[in-house]
Amino acid sequence: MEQGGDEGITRLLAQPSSGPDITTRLDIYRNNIAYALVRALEALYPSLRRLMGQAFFEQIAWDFARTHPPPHGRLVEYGFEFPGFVSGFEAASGYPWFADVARLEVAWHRAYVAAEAPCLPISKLGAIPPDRMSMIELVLHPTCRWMHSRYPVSKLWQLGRDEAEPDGPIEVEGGPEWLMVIRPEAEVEVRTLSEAGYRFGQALSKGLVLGAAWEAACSVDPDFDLQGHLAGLFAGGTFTDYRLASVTSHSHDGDRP
Amino acid sequence: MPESAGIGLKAQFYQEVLDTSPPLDWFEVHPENYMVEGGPPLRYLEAIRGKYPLSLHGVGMSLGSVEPPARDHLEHLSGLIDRFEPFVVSEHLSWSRTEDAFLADLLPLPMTRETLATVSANVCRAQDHLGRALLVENPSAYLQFRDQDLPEPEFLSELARRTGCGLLLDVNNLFVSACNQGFDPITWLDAFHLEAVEEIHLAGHAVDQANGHSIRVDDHGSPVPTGVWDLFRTVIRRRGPTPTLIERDANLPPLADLVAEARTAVSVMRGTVADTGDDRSRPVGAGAGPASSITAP
Repeated sequence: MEQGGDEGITRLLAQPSSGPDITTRLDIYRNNIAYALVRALEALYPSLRRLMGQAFFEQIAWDFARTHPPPHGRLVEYGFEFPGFVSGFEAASGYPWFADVARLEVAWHRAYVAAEAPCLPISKLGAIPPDRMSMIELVLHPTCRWMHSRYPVSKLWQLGRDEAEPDGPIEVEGGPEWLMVIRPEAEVEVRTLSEAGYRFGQALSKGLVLGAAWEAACSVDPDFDLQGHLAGLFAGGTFTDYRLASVTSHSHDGDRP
Repeated sequence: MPESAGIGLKAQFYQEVLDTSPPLDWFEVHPENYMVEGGPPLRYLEAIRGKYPLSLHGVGMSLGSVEPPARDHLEHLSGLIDRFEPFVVSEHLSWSRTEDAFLADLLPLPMTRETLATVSANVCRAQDHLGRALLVENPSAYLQFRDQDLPEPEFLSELARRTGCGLLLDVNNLFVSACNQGFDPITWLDAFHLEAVEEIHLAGHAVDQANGHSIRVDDHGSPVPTGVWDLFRTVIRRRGPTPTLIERDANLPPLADLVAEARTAVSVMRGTVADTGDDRSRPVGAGAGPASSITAP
């Protein structure tokens, strides 16, 4: 995709009988490729594009696309390495939060196109004997993503998504933030969590049982409100299923004697 | 449904299509945009498919690459075909993939016997995998290779004969290529296996200036221009009614404008029959095409 070295290609091409020369014609194809890849990145990073401004975004997006062309023809699955590229981009080094906004947009997109799944109502937990409650594994919704940032990334991201001006200035050092991104139905939701809530969710996503996840949350907040937090997660359609784990094996409760 | 017209389904139109059921015969989408596990675009497509027939028009298979079509791409496409039961599945006579990179454009091929063998093998592989025939479309071209064993219309006709694929005639692409390369599109049609055409595309294009020369760029960004409508009439006179798509990807107008263009295409088909009309009275080759007339008839 690099320019230059046209001589080799030109030798293979027929001289046009009229109209623009071969280089001008080759440039149409080059422009088409650049345009398509930059548009694909724009579609994935609408907030970042607005925060960076169109010209700067196009420059960095084309720099990325030239060095990281898509490996396949599914552009809906292209550009997930862009945040890392942005964080190493010299001209953006004064804006270290750009990369985190990009990461949030990847999480948003992945939630947007992840598999559909019905949400588990909290009433289903009624079947579990109270003394076994700490031993359940909760299965997270397939659209669920977690994110942590030093910066107030959800506010910055929202600023880039909204046409409207924010109510007040955003303090860039006003982080950190712990987020959950999820699409229980049609709309992607970006939810702000406490650090304990984030640790709790991450522990569940790793397959830890409820009791162990609670301990993980309590390690940063001894007063972590398990019941309230769990009720909120269920109301938000966070889980699709549960399994009752034994001490020695992890099996579905239906399989147990 | 030969006497029918559809439009490309853009995300901006999902809700309006569901709410208003516009008078269109079918919709077309790029399957690549739906090669995901779930989410609103697939939900909308399913709802709209419940009301309209659907055509899948691929841009990512790279039939002209030396490598066979990517297996995962064919598997994704196969899943969409099972789910949405399209009435046609089409691709392009072009290449866009090397071993490790996808160049997101429809790049030109040298029209040689060797290329014909490569593309034929790839079309057969794809058709075998998908269990159905493809339609293959003529791309708009800005360049030609020096080595050429057979002209594009003969290449496509021979491809159809060898593989059993159908053809998708993009009238705008033919118009753009003819203007850019200085050939007569009517002569091109004379050499083209029109009986294999099962779908037609219509679109607008841009007229760009470069170093004092004009060149037509296929940007799907404006209404179908007069010259393309004229060439469409010729094609319909020769081929008879054929499912026709209004393609629009940039500068999207209100949905009603695209519906009106689709209805115009159907009127053209209703007003004409396959005969031997005098199509040589309207040369639209290089230099003779309208500068940038974009008025639908």
